[in-house]
Amino acid sequence: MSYIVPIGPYHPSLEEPVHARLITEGELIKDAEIFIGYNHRGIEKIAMDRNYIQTTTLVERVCGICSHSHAMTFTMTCEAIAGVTPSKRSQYINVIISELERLHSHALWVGVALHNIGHDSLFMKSWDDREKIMDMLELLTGNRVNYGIAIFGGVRRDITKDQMEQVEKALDEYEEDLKVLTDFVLNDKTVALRTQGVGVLTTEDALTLGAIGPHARASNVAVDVRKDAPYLAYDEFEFNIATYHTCDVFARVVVRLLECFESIKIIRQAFKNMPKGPINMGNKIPTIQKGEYMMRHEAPRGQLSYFVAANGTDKPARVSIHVPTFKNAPTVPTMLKGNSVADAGLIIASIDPCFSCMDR
Amino acid sequence: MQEYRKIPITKDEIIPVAHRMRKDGVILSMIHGYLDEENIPHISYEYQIDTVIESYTVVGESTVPSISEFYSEAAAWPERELNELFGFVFEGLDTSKRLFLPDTMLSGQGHIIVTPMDELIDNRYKKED
Repeated sequence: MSYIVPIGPYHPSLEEPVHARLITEGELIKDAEIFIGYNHRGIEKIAMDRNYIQTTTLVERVCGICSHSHAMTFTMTCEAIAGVTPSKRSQYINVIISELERLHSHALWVGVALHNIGHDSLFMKSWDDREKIMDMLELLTGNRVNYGIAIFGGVRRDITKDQMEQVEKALDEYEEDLKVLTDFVLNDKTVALRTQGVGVLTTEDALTLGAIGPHARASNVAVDVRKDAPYLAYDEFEFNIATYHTCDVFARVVVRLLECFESIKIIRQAFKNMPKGPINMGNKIPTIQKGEYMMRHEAPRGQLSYFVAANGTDKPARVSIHVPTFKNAPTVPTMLKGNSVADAGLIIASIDPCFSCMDR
Repeated sequence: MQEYRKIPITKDEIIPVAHRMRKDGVILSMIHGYLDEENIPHISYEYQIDTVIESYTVVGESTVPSISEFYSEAAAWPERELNELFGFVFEGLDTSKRLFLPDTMLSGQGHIIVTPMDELIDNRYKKED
């Protein structure tokens, strides 16, 4: 006999509201359905009533974790419509903030995942280490969450030599902490028992269902916008795409940890080769003429795309935001099938969902 | 660097384009849609070919065929989203359940990006009455 087990919209293993219905036989999940929209704030609709400068501030508030990704991708799209190329220095600064954002986002998720499997010591270590990244972001931007650094035509604030030295020192310390955490996670029995072979998404399923970002890379699909379709100055950096072949929750942990090391590599290169020049266009901002464009950015959770339709006025006709969780969430029912109810929370969390992003 | 190419197509070309893209292993990046200032629907299918986004755009049609048979949930979710935000109809798409907001809210009625909030609330209370 089958039962329907509801999870959420509010559940201890979920940081944000979402609703899942598990169709179970005993402890085994036979099928699942996902319902979204509990965090819908109508941001796309509000954007149609704001000018481009106000919309930059608005979209930064779509998400509290990848806020810079939203503001930066929106400004990149507007710049593409206006035919503006921001200075190289501003592109490097955007890369640095993006990679720091990836570091703190992955550290946050690894902590949440470890908490979900009941390993609270490692959860606290991961979040303690993450504070170093948050301090770096605060040092560089003045803020811990909504950085307000990406503006139309460049960035709001420059990075001084002294700040670079401080961040490089903090990065060295963070890298050592990350090595310890990675070693623990890869060799810990509890982590292995709870994550290996759990929530499998095969490479074929990942491709069919359209999985992206670290979630797809953990299913051995080597997709990364930074490599596949470079933007900003990403084609000037050397880094690897981290993939893993086991396609389970363990692979998702491994991939995100490996990506942290790659992000550190990118930030160091950015500091080393930081070009001189202006950081924005001052008051010489061109108007955004009629046109449409779509830009993609590899946000911490995967490809973030912004589609902007401009109608020649100071307000966009349409701002369409498509976030990684919207692409990865449809893979959850496939991953849940055949697993036990006890693992459902962890499996849902393993896509590193951001329901604020997804619901907008 | 990233490029964006807009390619106008008719409603009848949506399925052949999707079929060809799927056969060639091209990723469907997203399906976007909006109503312009004259209330004319624009629906665009963004396919990701290396650094280029090829945007196949249909203008003036609010009922189009669903391409979810080729792209599964990767197409079904954006189509359901556009159905609920703007009321665009995707023939062949299962819309028996809402994607955004649960069935119990707003009585399951109203397209949340084009319907004023007071009208949505009115619908809800009408149902409850």
